[in-house]
Amino acid sequence: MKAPESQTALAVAQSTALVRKAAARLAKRGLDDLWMLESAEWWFKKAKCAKSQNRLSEFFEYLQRTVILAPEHTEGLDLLGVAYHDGIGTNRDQNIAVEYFRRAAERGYALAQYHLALVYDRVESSKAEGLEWERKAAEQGYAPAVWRLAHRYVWGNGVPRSRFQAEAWYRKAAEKDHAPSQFELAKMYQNDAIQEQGKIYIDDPSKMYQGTRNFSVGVIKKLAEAESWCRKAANQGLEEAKEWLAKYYPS
Amino acid sequence: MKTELVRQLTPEEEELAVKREELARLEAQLADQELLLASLKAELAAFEGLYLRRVGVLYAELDEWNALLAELRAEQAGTPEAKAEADEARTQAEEAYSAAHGEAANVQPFTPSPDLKKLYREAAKLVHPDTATDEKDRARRERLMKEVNAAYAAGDEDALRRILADLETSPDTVQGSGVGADLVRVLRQLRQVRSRIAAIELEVTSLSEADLAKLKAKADQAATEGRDLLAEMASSVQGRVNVARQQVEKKSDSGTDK
Repeated sequence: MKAPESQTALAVAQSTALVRKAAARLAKRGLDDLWMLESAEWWFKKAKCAKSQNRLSEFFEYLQRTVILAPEHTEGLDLLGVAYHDGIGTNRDQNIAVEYFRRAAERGYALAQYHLALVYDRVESSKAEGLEWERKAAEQGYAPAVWRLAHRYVWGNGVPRSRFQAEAWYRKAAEKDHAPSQFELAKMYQNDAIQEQGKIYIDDPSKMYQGTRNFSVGVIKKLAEAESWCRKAANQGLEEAKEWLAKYYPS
Repeated sequence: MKTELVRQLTPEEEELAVKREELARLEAQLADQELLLASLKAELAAFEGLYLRRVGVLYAELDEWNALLAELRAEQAGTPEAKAEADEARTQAEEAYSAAHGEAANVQPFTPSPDLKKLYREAAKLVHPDTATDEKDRARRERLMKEVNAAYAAGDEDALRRILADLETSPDTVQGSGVGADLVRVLRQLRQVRSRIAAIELEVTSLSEADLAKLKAKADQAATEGRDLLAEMASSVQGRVNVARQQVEKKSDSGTDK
């Protein structure tokens, strides 16, 4: 009567042992991959050091070692793309550059997605693909990509014009401390305020001579928001924003 | 005038007293060693859980995509080699899945309180099987020691207190008859305790040489530098998962186009 029970117990014990073995194998795999990653990182650091000392052919060689050891090294792949793109330590080759950008981009590296977008955007036939990569980088919050995407929505460049989308994307970059986006947002809100106030003057021109006392709550709020974004951009050293701040919001 | 009568100890009794003292010291040391081992095991199990949840699942996902890719290839090529490759990839995927989503992955972080450690040391000293006096006692103590270890790994202070209370109320094992028998027993206990201490040292060494322990040491080292090693590993494997997924999607699209 006991046999089936002990057989199940044996089966359970065997499957537990298998799972233990599988877990141990996962640990070994992690350790091996980690070793590769660490060696790759070592070469990558050497590459960056060589670049800073203007030893460009060494820079290029170390980068190659980096991505051979760790084909997942997205920063290394992207930088190698830049090296081929700009001809740093090697001859220029746009096709190879795109290949490296793509490898890093497919692995989810925002900077490489942005680089790929810039390259594709230069050629008419690949503009659509460029937009896709730009959007991917923007969705990861990479500020320059967000900024470009917002611009597209303002001007209807490759996408339908949308004030709503533009504002949302500018805001996303602005919240990441991207100064040009902060300034764009400030201009946007100030324009809104002017338009809204303009409508009030059209309805009742006599208000034009009452100064700021007749500003509606909405207008005041918009102006305050515009000032706050403009100040943030100016604090980051954006010249245009500084001038704008001095001109419209003297304290 | 009172005279105190001090009985002279026989040489055997003196020897017994010395050996008992030595045994007590070694038992305390053994309890410390057991605590060390139990803590190491629990920490490794907790780290393994963390590793499997954060990195292991990604390896499992990677293997799953690779298996799908191999199966798609086998379907399109139709050769026995491709079929064998697909089967192998599928086996590996199942294996990785079983490990990454198994019980080991559920183990939560281990942070023993000083109280828990103290209780464990006390309990280990009291129940340790290597201080058993006969086979029956040994079996009982081995069972209890398992409970003690499980309670410690689970951070269950109450369970340890319960075991301790039970032990204190249970009648002491009857001491043998005569100094000679006692001496023999103490000597035997001494030998058992010493060999257990040596065995623990061996086990600790082999545990800390395991891949998991090496990985943990690296993660701990990285943490002191303010890095999250598991996150770095996870993002690297995630990159490979993304690529494998895109390959499968491309392959299955081209398959349906035909």
